[in-house]
Amino acid sequence: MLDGLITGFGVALDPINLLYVFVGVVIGTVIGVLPGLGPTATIALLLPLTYVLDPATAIIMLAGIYYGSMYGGTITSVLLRMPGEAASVVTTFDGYQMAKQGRAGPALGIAAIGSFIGGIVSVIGLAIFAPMLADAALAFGPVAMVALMVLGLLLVTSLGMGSTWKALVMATVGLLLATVGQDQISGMPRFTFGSASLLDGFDFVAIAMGLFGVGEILHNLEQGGHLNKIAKKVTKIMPTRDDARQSAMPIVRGSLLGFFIGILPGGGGVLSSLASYALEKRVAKHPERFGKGAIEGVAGPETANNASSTSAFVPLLVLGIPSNVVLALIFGALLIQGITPGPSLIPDHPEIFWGVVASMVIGNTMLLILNMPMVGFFVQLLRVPMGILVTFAMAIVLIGTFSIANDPFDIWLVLGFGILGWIMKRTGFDPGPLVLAFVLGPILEASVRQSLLISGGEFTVFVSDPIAITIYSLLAVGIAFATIRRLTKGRPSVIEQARNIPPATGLIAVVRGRRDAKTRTTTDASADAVADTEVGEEERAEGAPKR
Amino acid sequence: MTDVVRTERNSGTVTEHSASDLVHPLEGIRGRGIARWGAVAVLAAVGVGAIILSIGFGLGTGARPGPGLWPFLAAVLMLGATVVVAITDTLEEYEPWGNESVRTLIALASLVVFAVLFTLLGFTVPAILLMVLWLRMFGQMRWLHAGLLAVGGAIALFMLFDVVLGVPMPRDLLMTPLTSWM
Repeated sequence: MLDGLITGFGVALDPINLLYVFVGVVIGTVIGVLPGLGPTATIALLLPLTYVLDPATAIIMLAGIYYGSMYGGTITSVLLRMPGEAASVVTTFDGYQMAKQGRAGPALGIAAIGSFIGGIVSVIGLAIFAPMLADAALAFGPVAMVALMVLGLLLVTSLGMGSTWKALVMATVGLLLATVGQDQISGMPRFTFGSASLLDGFDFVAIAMGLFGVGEILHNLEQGGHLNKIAKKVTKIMPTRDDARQSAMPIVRGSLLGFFIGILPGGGGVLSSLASYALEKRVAKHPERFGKGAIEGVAGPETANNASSTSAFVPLLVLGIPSNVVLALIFGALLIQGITPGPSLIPDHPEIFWGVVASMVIGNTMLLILNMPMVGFFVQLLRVPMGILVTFAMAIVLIGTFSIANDPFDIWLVLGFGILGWIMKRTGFDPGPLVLAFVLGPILEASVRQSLLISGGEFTVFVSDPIAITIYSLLAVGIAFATIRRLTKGRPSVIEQARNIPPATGLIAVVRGRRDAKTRTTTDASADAVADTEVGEEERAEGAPKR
Repeated sequence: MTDVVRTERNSGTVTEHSASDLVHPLEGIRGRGIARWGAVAVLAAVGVGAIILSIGFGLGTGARPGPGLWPFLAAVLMLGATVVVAITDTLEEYEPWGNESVRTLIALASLVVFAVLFTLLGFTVPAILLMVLWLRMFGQMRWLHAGLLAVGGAIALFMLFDVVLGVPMPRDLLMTPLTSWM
């Protein structure tokens, strides 16, 4: 491991990589702060840029965006009760209350410190466990891989926030889309309808940019309006001794919880912060403080979401199975570079694995600095009107799309998938499972056909392997448990709570709310002007949507 | 669900959005219903179509799976899940169409125009036109500001991709003469 780390720091401390990890974490923080563009959309938009980078550099930057957004999302959750990205929704519960009590500074401070500790703990876990797991996973045959991918897909569909069945429909659509083009084995064109451009299948980047980039932008346009001007100065970032004492255990628990939840398929981000919040509330001596500005309710979840966003790299880099959409995009970025993530990634490309691990240590340190003294700067970003943001995002999509293959046809493809993504957003179908299934589809198909060939056509082959049997049994028990629980008690309250979370595009919630409760919010805001939150420029409703 | 709303309300953390959504009965039931059945119909049609085409590709046998077997399985699964959605799904997540969609349709139309002009004029000129329109329409900016920002933005993006990243951009009405002159 030591050798690996030395290699890793050698890679990560390369000036180019240092630059890109910095670029990544800054972009991550920025888009975490700006509502409307989450890490998924941003990474999708930037995929074409990674073509020209080394594989390690590309992943270092994209990973930086992902965990950077976990930090950035906190800022607006605390100051405006407006989560910049989904995983920070829980932080609005207590973080915003703290801000109202004039403790925005410590809330942001403890979130940054917790995120840093969670990130580092998770990086250490990644460095220790991933190579060990990869050694074990090298022995996995196609049958075990099928079981793992089925597990991954089913967990992602069932752990999402929307309807499980709709997610399943989307996953199957993804599998079907992945079959478009020439069959890998027989060479027969499938679903190409005579088009030569479709022989190679759909381009992953075009699908990702269309569904997440254009789809999100169009949906944002529909919500209209732009952000209210704010200019809050946050002071006294450092938490007091009492704050630190109260937060210590939640940070420890959040780190461990986040790490383990992040490893599970579908576990990164939202789920870990929800689980941490639920846990903190359960173990608290005074659970009634939660929701009224308890610092534990900020420290735990913020630690957990960053820890999980790091450990989510374990299944990707060890098994080649992305555990959530952001990692599916990173998986795609690796494929573009000609590298198929899987058990052989660590032995074959140690510089990528260890480079990413080392860069995470550096990136988290940069984020701690960015988020403690410089938090005020990022708050100012909210002054950028939504209209400018979406316009530039769209222009980047268009030119980036062309650069995929220097082919104007891709622009049409992206627009097509953009319209699809927009309609899916309007009808509550999550594009996440689709993209994940699209990425896994070809590997899953190949593994299924290989298994059948090996066994001479016996379908029982799929339950012939001890690893596969274990996975399917766990899956069966899990489904049975969830069904019984749902029948007797209804959905677990945490999931139910999560379903009421406004979508990752937090702007929607706020702008709509402002329209309805314009006056209330305005008075609310001025009443909130408290001790360490100087309101430089009063929150005005003039930015409310014009329709 | 009501339980959660109550707890959230007590803690004062519920957003205005979800509050208004949950307190008032669902608006636009009819529009949502149409959206829902439309989605189900399209998905079912795709599923059935994919099944038929897959059979045409050849399912093969267990020992020698054909190219159609995998898409066939995926399509059957898709159709099955769509049927469950048709039976069980509620209307909450379907947004009714309204006046705001008109703006989106204008935006879409402008994107189509961009895609057409792109092959004729290169990136910058269509991008400037598109950005001015969007900045006016969605950013409520003044003509002058929108124009300056659009010109600056389009040229900056062109330079980033063409010069820095080395993407061979198509002949550009504005930039090709300019860069060759420089």
